[in-house]
Amino acid sequence: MSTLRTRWMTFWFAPTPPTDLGVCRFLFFGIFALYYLRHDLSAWGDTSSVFWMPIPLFQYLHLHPLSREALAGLQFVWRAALIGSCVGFATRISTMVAFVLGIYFIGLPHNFGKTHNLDAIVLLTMGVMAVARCGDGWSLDSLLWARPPTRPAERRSGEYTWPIRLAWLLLTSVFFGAGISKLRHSGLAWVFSENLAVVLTQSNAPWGFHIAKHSVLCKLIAALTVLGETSAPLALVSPALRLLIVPGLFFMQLGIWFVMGVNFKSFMVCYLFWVSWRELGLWLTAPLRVGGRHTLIFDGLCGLCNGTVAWIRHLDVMGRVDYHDAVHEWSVISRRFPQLNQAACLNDMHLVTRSGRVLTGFDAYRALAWTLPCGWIALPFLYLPGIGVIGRRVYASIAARRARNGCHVPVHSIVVDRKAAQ
Amino acid sequence: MRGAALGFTELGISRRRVALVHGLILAMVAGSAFCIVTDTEYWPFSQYPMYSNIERPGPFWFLTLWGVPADGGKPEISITDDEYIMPFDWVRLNRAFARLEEMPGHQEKMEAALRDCWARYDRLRASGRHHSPPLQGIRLYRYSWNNVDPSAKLTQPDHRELIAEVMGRDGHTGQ
Repeated sequence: MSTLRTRWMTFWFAPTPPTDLGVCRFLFFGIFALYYLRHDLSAWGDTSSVFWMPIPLFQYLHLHPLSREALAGLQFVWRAALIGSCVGFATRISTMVAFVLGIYFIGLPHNFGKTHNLDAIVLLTMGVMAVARCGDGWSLDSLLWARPPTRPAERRSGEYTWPIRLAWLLLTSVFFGAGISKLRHSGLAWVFSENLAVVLTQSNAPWGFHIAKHSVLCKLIAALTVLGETSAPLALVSPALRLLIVPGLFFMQLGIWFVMGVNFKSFMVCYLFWVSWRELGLWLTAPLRVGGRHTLIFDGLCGLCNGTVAWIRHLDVMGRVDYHDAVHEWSVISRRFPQLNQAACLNDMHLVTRSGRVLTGFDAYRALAWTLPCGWIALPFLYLPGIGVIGRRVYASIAARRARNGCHVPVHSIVVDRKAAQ
Repeated sequence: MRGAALGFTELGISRRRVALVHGLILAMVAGSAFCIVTDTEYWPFSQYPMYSNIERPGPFWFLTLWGVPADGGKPEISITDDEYIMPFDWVRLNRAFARLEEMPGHQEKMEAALRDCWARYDRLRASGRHHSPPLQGIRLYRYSWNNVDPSAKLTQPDHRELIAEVMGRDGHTGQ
């Protein structure tokens, strides 16, 4: 019993970094923000009431189509919430608003004649994200409220695991339900009759017709469909089967789209929860990390420096920089880089590049811009004529003000460290 | 981690949050299980019954929407693509018409629905979403085939039946 409980808790709550959940949030809401920016749902406000055939949820909540103007206003708020959820700004509020308004906006079209089953999982996943702590990684919130001690990737919690697992559960339950429905309504005749061939012919898509002509092929595809759907929950418990089942289901839906023209776009976005984005990122950026990492040396007693380093740590998504505090880790620094002077390191931020070159102040930031993906955007600007001169002056001015604002160079630490070295 | 006793501190999550998450898991599982077991649909939960019924070779039909251009010399134009009917898509609108056809007083309802489609066509035309000609009428047909045979491609229907129409701005209704 204890083992079962441990396995259960490990499945749902094994501590993981916030990266995967953060990337999933960013992509999930980003894709739907783009999708719903292009689809004007306020047009339902103009639709004749003759088409209004409310689904049980709307009946129960007494929800009705609003006027076009009211829908447009509400839609503006929903789109803003989707964008806020994507970039992770006021994430808790944004995701909650995205979910609550999503009940109305995603559900509204289903009251006009037909309930499409393909976007229900989107709403349920939004509900999961509204409860999850999905703004701790890959978000503006984590940048704005950045704290020095650790990079987000170094924090681990079960809070970042369960939302992904629940998204898995939702996706597999859809397929399991679909498989059971086929067996309940049609039994094995769904596989062994001419059913799929007829469906493909009725769909009238060119490739569907070519497949429909091959009876054995149709039956094989039908058998694989039912097998894949009913066995989908096994992907939750077996990592080996997960590698087979999840891509199988993905390509099955892609195939249905291709041969029958049934569009699973919204639904297929939910597969992104199955990707280990952190591992994928590490694998993709492995060549960039060959040859060592930069080392950033900063004044650990300076609030401004600590804040800046916290930002840089968040932006260093590829983990290409080592961070050393010149106050508390000087013994380590002096062993690795005997050419450095502690007083200088406390005055100006130092960057020792992979090749061993030592850069300070503005030049250190400019070198960092090559390393941090966000910095790539700024690179052209940083190399404009005259920017170097201006940048060094601005840095010197801020550094001088830093000393006046109470972030004094802690001379005593030098003495302590020298004594320790002796 | 496996095999060891897991404390909430190790997991980095509070007991209250774990309880909340379990409640959420239970709600999701219960919603899906209820629909699967009872074979019902309560959006956003569903038993996902699409394509679960057997289709056999035999008769087949679907509805289709056509516009009659104001220039009487031009042939009818199919107006089932999204740019003519949005925010509907044709699968949804087709199903809506099929449901209206089964309702009591369906003739009036179909007429109102066709007027709505015509008004939408004009709005989308005025907003530049499509550049098809103005209409003098709109018609709903049922296309039917006596036998769908997987060995033969679906081509011209065997029958084209006018289900409903609205003609002229005064709204003369046929059928």
